[in-house]
Amino acid sequence: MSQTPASAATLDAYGLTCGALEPLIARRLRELAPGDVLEIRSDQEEAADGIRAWTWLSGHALVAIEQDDPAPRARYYVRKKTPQP
Amino acid sequence: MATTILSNCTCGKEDPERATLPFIVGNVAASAEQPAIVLLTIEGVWIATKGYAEGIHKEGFQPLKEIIDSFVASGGQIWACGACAKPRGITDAHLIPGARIVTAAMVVEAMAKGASTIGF
Repeated sequence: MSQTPASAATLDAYGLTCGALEPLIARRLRELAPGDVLEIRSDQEEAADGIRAWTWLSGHALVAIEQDDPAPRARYYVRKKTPQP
Repeated sequence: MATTILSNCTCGKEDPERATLPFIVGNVAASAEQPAIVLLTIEGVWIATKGYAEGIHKEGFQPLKEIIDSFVASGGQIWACGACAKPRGITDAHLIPGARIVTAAMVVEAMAKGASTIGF
């Protein structure tokens, strides 16, 4: 994980639980350019594991996590992948 | 080549949670650009028919129709078991977009080619 990157867009995902969050991230990433970073705000305990697993599957990169108060609030930074030629 | 994720759904309105979970798995897989199939069997085949999923909403989950729409929009496939559809009078004319009636051999072929399966 590196320092917090500048984000091109923000997704307020407070309250979204397992299974609903990742497809929404995918939808928002489709609106961004390759290399852009999406900031995802979540207050769900399972978000960290879910986003980590989903980015591994999809090929996008989880580049930073910032913890907020109160826990488990956090901001997750996902960089959109560049399509392979 | 990515692994196909095949999620089996055996229930319809009689068990909204079991009807919804296979589509949650499929939707997450499709959103990650994994090939994804929800295989509908037994009472689950009704979900492939127009209008049936509307109103199926297990508390704590998204409404099933929303999940199905997202799943199909992400490239997910809905397979309705032909052997289950036929005695229920379900034909191609009844199906929602993204759904098709399949044979047992197609299911076996998908598994033989390496699909990972999960059932609910």
